[in-house]
Amino acid sequence: MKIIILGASQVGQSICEVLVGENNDVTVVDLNGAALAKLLDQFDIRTVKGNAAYPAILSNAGADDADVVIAVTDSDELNMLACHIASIKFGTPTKIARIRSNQYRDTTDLFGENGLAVDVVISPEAILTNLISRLVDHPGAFQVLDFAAGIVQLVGVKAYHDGPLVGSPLRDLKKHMPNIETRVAAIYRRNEVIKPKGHTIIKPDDEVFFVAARKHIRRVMGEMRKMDVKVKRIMIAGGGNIGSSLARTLELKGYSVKIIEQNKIRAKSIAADLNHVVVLNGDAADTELLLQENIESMDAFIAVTESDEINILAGMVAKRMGAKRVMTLVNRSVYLEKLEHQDIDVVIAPREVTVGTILAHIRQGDVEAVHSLRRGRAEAIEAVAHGDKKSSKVVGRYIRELTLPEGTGIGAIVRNNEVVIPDRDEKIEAEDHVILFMIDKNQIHDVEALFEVDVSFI
Amino acid sequence: MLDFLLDVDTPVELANYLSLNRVICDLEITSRKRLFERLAKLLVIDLEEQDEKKIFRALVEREKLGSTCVGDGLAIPHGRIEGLLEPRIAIVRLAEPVDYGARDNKPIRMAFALLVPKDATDEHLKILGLLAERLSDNDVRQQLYIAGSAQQLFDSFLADSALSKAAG
Repeated sequence: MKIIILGASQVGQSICEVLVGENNDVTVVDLNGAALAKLLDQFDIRTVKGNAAYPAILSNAGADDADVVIAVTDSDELNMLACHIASIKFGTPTKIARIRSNQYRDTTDLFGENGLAVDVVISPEAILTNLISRLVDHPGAFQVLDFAAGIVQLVGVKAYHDGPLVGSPLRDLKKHMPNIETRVAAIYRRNEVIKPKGHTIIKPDDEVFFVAARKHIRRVMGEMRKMDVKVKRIMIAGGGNIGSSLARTLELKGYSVKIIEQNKIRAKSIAADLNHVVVLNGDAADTELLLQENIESMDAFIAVTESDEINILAGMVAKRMGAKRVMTLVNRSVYLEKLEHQDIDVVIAPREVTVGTILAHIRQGDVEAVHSLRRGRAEAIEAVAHGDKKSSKVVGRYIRELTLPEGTGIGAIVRNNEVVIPDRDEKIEAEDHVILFMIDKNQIHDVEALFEVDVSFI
Repeated sequence: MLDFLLDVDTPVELANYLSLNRVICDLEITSRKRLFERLAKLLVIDLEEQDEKKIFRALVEREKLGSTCVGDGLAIPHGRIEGLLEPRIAIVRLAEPVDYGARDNKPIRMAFALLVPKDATDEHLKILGLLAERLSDNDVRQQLYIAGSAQQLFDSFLADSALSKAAG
């Protein structure tokens, strides 16, 4: 596909990296020549320096031929305008814009046929807020991802010796919970992946990924570790877009929330916005402040400032001082590689989260959701099956007949809004939403090809 | 209500769906997106109630579900559109091959676009089947490639239809 990325900032770079890796023809536009030069050094792309909304610049970037425009500059307004102009001047089929402000996002009818020509609005802040709040709801999970509008979830959980299933083979799950359906998608043991079989024995410290209906998640998690005490008190470090939106969400869910913001003016403004949240003006890694605010009684400490370094440092300090569970946002991959679960319980990579949302709209085939996992090495997707036995390679076939790539498994099917945890003898039907887990992301092309309809599908 | 009348084995003939003003020979174009734009422009000819952009979108959306490339540089992009009364075909032969995003990575040299009404019928499948069958014939493909004008392209495309009818 021919894709134009507007904006060479962090998100733009991550998207660029993934899309080039998937053999797309990418052009990046930015005002900052140095940022473009850096990208040009790393990747086989074209770059155009200039204002992303100028028709002439879009034209130089190949908008006449482009299938997709992804507007991820730092300005919401520029992103919307660029998409709209791409639509008017070049009829670009798919226009994706990052929009941070909920002033735009929450306004109905702003986008679409009679509004601004943005097909997909992505807000990393909103996605991250949802993700973190799901993680807060499921203490013990380091990953909770939604499929089929949240009916099905993929959960990553670290096994502890106190979990009833730990030390037993997977097939015992059925005995332990006769009325609950779940599928273990993958097990990571000291960073090595193990393909789950009935006789596979779960060991303490294994990272277990499983798929189940949302209503069953807690029960299944309880098999892997003694259920953690429900979270009540939460401290958030950083009152930026993510921090304040997270505080608002968690406040509404009834949690008791404190938020630390360094900037005095910003702290005042969020205090005015939030009803029950305690807003503290200060440094998130300041041990005196943390001590004074009873860090040791916090069930969760969530660091979401704009700085990786502050997030990591504050997280480590909070952990040492007794915060039960620490989550931090980390953007830079250098840190991501080094940080897996040492002093921080959950490391969240915003770029993985954002890129997945964009990929769902770019991948060939009807792909509803893409979630990047294990620092981009693994992937979970929700693909919709179309056609009939003739035009499709999956519809009307038993799962055992499918030629799935090695290391790819079907975790769940959502059929007419009902969750099916399928065995090998389940038949795929048209319009099924199939949730697949790929240990190796490079298999995506084979999985895509499997779900594509052939020419006879009208 | 009168569906049963139509069911009396209406013969499906490609000639019924194509007209000369929807055929372009040796179009200069640089991408799949522009090809779809041109096909939409052709398909909308004489359809006052239809919108070119909607047709373009229908082609793009169908293509996303799976490539319509049938190999050997040929593609049969198609789509459904609300309010269309009769299926219709448009043909474009390209001056230079264009990347079609096909799995075999081979570019496209000719596109035979088919637009059909929203509600699926067997007739649509038959037309698609006929199209695919026609294009799988080596001689037909040769004729289409050597055609020197839109008229010749049109004639060679339909000539076979007459032949097969005579034979059948």
